[in-house]
Amino acid sequence: MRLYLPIFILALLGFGFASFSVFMGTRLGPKRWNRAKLESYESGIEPTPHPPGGGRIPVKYYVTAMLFIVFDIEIIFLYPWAVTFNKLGAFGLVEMVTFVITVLVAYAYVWRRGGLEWD
Amino acid sequence: MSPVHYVALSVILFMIGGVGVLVRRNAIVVFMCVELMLNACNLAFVAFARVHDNLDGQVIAFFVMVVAAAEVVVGLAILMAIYRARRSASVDDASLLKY
Amino acid sequence: MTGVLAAGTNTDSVAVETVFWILAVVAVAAALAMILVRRAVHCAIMLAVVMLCLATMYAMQGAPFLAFVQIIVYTGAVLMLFLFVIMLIGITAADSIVETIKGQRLAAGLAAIGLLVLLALGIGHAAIGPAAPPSPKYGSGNLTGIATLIFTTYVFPFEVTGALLITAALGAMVLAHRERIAPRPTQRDLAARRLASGQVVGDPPPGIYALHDSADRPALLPDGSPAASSVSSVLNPRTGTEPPQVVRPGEKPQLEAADGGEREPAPSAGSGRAES
Repeated sequence: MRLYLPIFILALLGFGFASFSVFMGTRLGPKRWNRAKLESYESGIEPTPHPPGGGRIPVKYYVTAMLFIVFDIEIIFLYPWAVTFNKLGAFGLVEMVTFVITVLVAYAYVWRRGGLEWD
Repeated sequence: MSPVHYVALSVILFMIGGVGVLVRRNAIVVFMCVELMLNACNLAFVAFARVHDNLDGQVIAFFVMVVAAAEVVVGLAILMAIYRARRSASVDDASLLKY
Repeated sequence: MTGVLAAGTNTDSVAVETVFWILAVVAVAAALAMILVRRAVHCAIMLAVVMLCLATMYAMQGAPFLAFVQIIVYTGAVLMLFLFVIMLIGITAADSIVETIKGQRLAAGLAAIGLLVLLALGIGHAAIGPAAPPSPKYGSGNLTGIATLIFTTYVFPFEVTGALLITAALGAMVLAHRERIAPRPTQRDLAARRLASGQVVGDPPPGIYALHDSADRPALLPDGSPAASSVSSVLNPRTGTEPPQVVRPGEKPQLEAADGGEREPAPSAGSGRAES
């Protein structure tokens, strides 16, 4: 339990702060509603009943997100390696260098192919 | 909690994921159900690692997660390619392979 | 974690049991909801709930590292990628309720029950021992233990993972990346294209030199005509195209409604699109 105590405290603080802010906002803030304030956008843009284009939202960077996962996995491996680096010694260094070089091949390919360019 | 409970929960989750794969028609949802099945397996791995009192099961679960992440990348890329060609993410519309 | 707690007082083990049952019920309910709701976005949210429950269970079973990998890689990255793809395909996309193959749902349900019975029998007959007693490797030493295993016993799978990552990157690039056919236009090209088009500056934002600055009021062009292109296409441009009211210092600005009728109608020359 002691291992997770900081996380519990942090979660409690975060949850408490959020609920306290929301609660106090409803208590203390002035409430003068009118039609414009109840709209989704107060700036005068009238919201459309249906999302345009069938709710499709262009996410141009989804290839970047896919590539991010690849390098996310690399980081996940690097973390335990870094913690035990002293214990592993030269062998650990060699195997991690091999691994990183392997992933760098993927990186070079993606770069060369233009996957990192922003359109 | 005895590990049997965790294994039983993992069995139930695996079954639900299997039903989802069989029943759902949207390819993304089918894919998510596969992820659920993988997660259920991971839960069993972790439970058995605790039973056998070594960390091998946890390491295997870790590798399962890594492989699943790579699989999701390729799978979603395939989905995007199919969607671009057919304007549909339904598994019924991508059945031309059998003809 | 279970063992660490069980080694403590009895109340701790009760707490762990309570947490397990709550999480188990939530996880199963979320998983059921995932295969029952029709929209893919809701499925993704339900899957996130299941994954967070499982992460907590990993932590309870003495796998803190896995718990965080689950949250960071699965819930953080993989599920976000799922959401991105759902956004691209359409958040309103829902499954059809029509059964493509007749009786497929019934068959799937029967198969699931059969699988459940088989697995339950298997587990019931298996002698699954009790959980191992708590030790540092299920707590503070967990990460070190896993790292030692990965980088010694499982060195080969670890290195092969590198090849797997290359495959993943290759797959993403080949399948999802759109190859550029024409060379990317440079700033010089873009500037030349803009000059050639005749309209050097961009469209005016709505409300410029108009009486109001609301988003549905078209901007007035230098000749006083409304510019319909300044209003977003999802709005109906409001037809109040009076020229801007000149207010001298010290003078009280007149309200639009008060003198709207007396004034001459605004010059509606120019684009007739604004009137429609």
